[in-house]
Amino acid sequence: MRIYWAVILASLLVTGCSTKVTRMDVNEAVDLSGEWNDTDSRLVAEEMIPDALSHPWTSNFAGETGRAPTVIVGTIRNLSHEHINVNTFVADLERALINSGRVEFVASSDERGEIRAERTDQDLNASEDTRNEAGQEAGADFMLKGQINTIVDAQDDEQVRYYQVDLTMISLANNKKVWLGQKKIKKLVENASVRY
Amino acid sequence: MLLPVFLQACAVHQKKINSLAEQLEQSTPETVLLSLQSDNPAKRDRAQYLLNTGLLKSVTGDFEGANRDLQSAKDILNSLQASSVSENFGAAVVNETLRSYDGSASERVLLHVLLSINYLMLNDLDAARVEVLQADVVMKELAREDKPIGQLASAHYIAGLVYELGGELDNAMISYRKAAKIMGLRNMQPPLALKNSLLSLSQRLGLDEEHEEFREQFNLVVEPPAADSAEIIVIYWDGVVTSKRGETLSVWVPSLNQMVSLAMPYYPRSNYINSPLYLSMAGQHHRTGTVEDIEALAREDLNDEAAAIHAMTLARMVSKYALAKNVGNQNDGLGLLFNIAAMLTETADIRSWNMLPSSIQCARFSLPAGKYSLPNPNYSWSPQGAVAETGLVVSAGEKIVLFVPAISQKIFSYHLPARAGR
Repeated sequence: MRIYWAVILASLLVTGCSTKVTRMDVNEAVDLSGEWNDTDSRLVAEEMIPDALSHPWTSNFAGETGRAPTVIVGTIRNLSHEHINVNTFVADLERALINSGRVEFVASSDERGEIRAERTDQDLNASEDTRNEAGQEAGADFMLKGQINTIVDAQDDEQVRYYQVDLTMISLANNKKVWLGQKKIKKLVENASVRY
Repeated sequence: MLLPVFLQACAVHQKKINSLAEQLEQSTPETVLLSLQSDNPAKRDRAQYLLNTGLLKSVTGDFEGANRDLQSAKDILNSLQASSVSENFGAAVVNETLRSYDGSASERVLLHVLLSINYLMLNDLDAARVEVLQADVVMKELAREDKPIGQLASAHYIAGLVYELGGELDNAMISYRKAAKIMGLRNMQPPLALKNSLLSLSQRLGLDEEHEEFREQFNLVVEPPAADSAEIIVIYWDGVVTSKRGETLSVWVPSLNQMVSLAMPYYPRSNYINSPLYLSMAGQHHRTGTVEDIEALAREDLNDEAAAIHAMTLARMVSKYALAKNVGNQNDGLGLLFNIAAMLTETADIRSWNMLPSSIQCARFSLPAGKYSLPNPNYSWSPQGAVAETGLVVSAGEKIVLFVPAISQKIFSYHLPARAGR
């Protein structure tokens, strides 16, 4: 009987010390620190995608040229108070715009180097009928640029964090700004003043 | 009775960390880092451990590793800003070392200063800007009307530099002004680099009246850099800050009718001799000037906390002695044991970010485009002999930030190309 209780106690102790993992729906909002998180990233993308597609720049371009505009992602600067991975919502934005069929994307300047290196390698090593030639890249018509700004107001254990994401689509032909997207998020973060 | 033994082990451990910090001037940061990493700190000392490993990784050039450690330290320090019930209880009945290490006011800001330098050296200006903004939030939280506690000229100077590199000249001007103001509050003269920045930015922003005031105040005239030259900004970390020590103070307590011993932390007299970095390049001679005296900051922070520490220590010791006396009234032997335990468990909290430099210095000058060998800094105490020369290629219009930590005798650089910089 004594062994039985010892085993139960030991099991409880071990359970208490072990890491617990709970799988969650990716759309479920969980705010732990109050900092920018996946929910903010998703909300920004969800709001900006319909906005980008609802404006006439794509149809105007298609009407003038007879084809969908080609877009390149430029710099999205993080000018906020937090280290934010802007790539997640840029990727969401890119995916939704491509899937809409109204926009085409070309590789960004960071991605191009690797692709060009592969093409150079193909020149040397791939068979002629499968080789991709240099000088056949699609040029972009528009560049997507943007920035994330924040204003933080802190007093004692409370902080108001205001995020503003601005994205701009700029024509590479004439530098005209054809779309300006903006999303604002405001949070009140109340930090605990007492902990165990 | 095991508690005193355990606490004595903690005190020995802290003395070992202090000894490692002191070795930095005779050994190499790589060796000290290895010794530090072989250690397994208590959970409550984790932030101090990460601050020190992060700093040592920074000065040896492992900026990514350093940022991982420093960001973890930052998370811990942020989570510790709430007052802990259990730790307060532990500090009230045993000693201050039972609290988690949450850094001094200046250390919380210096953490962001080091992170912004690291991100610059990783060529990530935006991430450096994030740290600058976070430092500003921390300084605003710490701001008081009576004293400049937690207000760091170096943090504002680095902020000004980061804004200037990003082309935000108005923000840079505000930060440089704040740096000069804080130095004034501490009765320090701004270094030449800061004076030059204030003069040149006020001129570029068309703040004629302010520019004239600075010209008169500093008795200086700045010329814009020549078209074929680059601007060099040097951030130099000199020395290693003094570690805290513990001392025993005897206080007469009338209610107990006896003397009570209090273990208090203190900073011994600093042996640091401020040594500028001398650079002779292209026939010009430059020297760094102090923007932050960390020796003074450490003492300022401790002095600010001293009254609270003294009051808490006195209250704790009076309770311990009273308990021992009560127990002793019923059982002499047990009373004696309680007295011994009270003395053994009483130890001063001597934890600090003790691998920081003694001072942060800076210099700013222009240099004609070309190839240079950075001269060996003047490390008179160097245990490693001559430092390998560092090559520097300077292009016209560039802005180059050099990070020179004296303890590693290495020179790291960040280059902002001309087109982006101007």
